[in-house]
Amino acid sequence: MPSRITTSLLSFFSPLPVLAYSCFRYMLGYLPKEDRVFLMDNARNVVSFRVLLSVLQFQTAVVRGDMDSANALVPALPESEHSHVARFLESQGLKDEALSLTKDPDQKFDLALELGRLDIATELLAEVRREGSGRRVKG
Amino acid sequence: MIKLGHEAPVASMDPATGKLVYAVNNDIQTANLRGAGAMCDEQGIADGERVPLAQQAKDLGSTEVFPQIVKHNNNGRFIVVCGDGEYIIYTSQALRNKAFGPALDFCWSATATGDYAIRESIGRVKIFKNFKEHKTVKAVTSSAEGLWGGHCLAVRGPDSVVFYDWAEGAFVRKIDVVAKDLHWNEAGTLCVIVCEETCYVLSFNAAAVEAALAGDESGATLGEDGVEGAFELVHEFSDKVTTGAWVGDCFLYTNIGNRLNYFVGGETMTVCHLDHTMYAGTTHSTSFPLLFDHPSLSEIALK
Repeated sequence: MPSRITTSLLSFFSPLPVLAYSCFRYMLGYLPKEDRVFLMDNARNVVSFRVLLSVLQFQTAVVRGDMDSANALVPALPESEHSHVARFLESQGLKDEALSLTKDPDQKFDLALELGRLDIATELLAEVRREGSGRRVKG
Repeated sequence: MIKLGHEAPVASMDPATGKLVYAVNNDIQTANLRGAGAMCDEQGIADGERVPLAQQAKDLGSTEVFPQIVKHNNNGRFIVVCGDGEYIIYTSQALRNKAFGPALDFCWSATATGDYAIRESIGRVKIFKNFKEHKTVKAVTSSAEGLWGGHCLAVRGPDSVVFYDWAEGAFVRKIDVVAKDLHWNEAGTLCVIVCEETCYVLSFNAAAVEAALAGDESGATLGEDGVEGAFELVHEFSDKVTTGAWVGDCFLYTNIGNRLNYFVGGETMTVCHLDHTMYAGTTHSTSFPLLFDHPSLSEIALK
């Protein structure tokens, strides 16, 4: 998100639309202890992106079919990553595992219907009704 | 869309220690990325923003060649600088000269400290063992156009990649693809060959190669195609990969669309888009537009 200063400067002298610029970045490598991948651009600035080792290890175990190792890694996954990981599990056809992990109500509802877990689906609907938000649950 | 340059920076990071070395013209500079994650968290540096360094980058010294390659060896104690048709190996800490010679290309072995290969010419590739010349590789392709290091020595031919073992320079396998790049995982079990629009993920059977090469005195058990079963194609995926690195069995890469993706067991996952969003405007005091890189408001002036 642009800072407030940027936004106000923009409104002051910006007749042009926002542009995206693209710049080559060389991958320096991944540091497991930092949970980050590091890249360097042409101006030799180093930038990094967070890629959690626990998520990579979990997904590696899943694609190897080693569910024991995968399950052992679940406690290491931060809750913020659960829905992302659940979508991956769903793509691998592991719907039960995805259902137990996801925090995304839409995905949870779809999976519950697909797996015939009407108890979970009705509970989700009841929750939505209680909230009274009128939020639509797709499906 | 404004494109700013496409030359790759000449840099290498030792993944064990987080030490970074990079070339600025003829000068070699060093910085340490260890602890950068915690610094980013503390200072609220978002993904894709410039990483603050614990210590200022410092000058290691200068080299006599104009570097086109800078690369750490397998244990990070040495770096090679290659350019102007020469290579120089230095200690990575103090830039003390260790070895040098002519080379168009250079690559390190992933398994032994002082083992490397050089490409002297289109027809001559040499293997060095513990910094001493050891073998000249018998060419299987018509011409050697490039080298990649790792668990095998890989020579890029015009329409193939040819793998050799490091110990004796024996021919292991020829893979008929026009390769752009090649990356081994740390364990040496997987290797990805990056082509223009496709990547091939191969599994490597080190035990089979060792057995076949050891049991072969006469060349009888090795066919014309090298060691049977040395490599097996496990996956292939379509993407225009620009740079990448393995993390275990995951191949983390950037593509031509400037996305950061990873490939794991047949699935490609996007981490994020690398592009900054820039905000354009003009000032009354200057006649050229300015681009603001949020949130630091660093300016790039375009005449």
